[in-house]
Amino acid sequence: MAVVAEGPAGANDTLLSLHWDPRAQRLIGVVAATTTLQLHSLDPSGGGAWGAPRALSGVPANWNALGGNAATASAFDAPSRRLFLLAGHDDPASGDVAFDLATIDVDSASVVMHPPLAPVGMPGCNSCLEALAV
Amino acid sequence: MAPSPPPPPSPRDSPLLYGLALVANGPAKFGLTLLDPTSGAAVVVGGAHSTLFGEGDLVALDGARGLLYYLGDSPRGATLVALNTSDGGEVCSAAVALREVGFVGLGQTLSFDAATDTLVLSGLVAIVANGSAPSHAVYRAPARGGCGPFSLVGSFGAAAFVPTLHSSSLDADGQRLFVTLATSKTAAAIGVVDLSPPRRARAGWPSSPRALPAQTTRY
Repeated sequence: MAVVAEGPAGANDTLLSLHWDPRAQRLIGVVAATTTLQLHSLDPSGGGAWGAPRALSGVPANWNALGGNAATASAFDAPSRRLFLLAGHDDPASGDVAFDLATIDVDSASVVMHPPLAPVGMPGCNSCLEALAV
Repeated sequence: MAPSPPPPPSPRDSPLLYGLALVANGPAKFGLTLLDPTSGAAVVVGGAHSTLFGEGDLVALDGARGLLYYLGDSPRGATLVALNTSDGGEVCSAAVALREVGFVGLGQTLSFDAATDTLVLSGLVAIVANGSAPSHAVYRAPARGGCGPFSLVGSFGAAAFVPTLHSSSLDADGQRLFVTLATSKTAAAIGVVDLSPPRRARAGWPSSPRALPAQTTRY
């Protein structure tokens, strides 16, 4: 086992949901920042080189939640450059979560569509979808 | 004259999404789900499957064969299940030699490797000899529409701690497996596992994820 030194901790060198982008030769993923969502990327070659975080455009103002353990329930379709994830609004008063099925264009770092996720699974359930694959 | 409506998205613009949804509780059961990313429509296809699933990325699609695999838990231990994507039926299930630590799927990975037409599993080894350091094991099986048998292809360390938030990805062309790791009680990282022959594994950790939330994450 070879060991590459760990980089400094910080918000910019974080990737919680991993997707390999074969075109860019980087790991990518959506990360929750203080007030918005960011697309993070890492070149895992050598010691690892982090890209500058890119704030996602088109994020609805009321989103405050990522589904699936910080977007680990997500899927990346490399040919179409689309990353799919669950994001939405978590009402702290009621505890109800209303998720959208979000599509991210990873090249422009933008939310291109986010229709509400239809209830699926247990009756009336908005958070029963536990994985995505494409 | 009113402008023409935009053309419907092509399949390439809107690939069909699959998912797994909790369809019953007490006991929990899961169902194959088809999703339309343009409308948000979601529908469960086929029956309910009793192998438990832990929310996350332990799913792998073999699109050519129309199979969605998921790695979960059953009374047999860590269990791999294959579902037919056209009818949601269970094609196979098999116990795999991965250790379970508290939560379904914790520390485990599942990938479909299109470059070698194999399934790749990794996770904590099932049995650790007295005095030896814990490790991760990596297994492969031919993707012939079944659930194994898996062969051990290598191992890597950084297994004394496991991140509560776990994910992975596979670089099929480069034969690299990327996994989230915990390098101590409080430090997390990304491991880069070399899957190419000769069968050796290495791991580095250029990452330091923050606090590790569970379920829905508020930000």
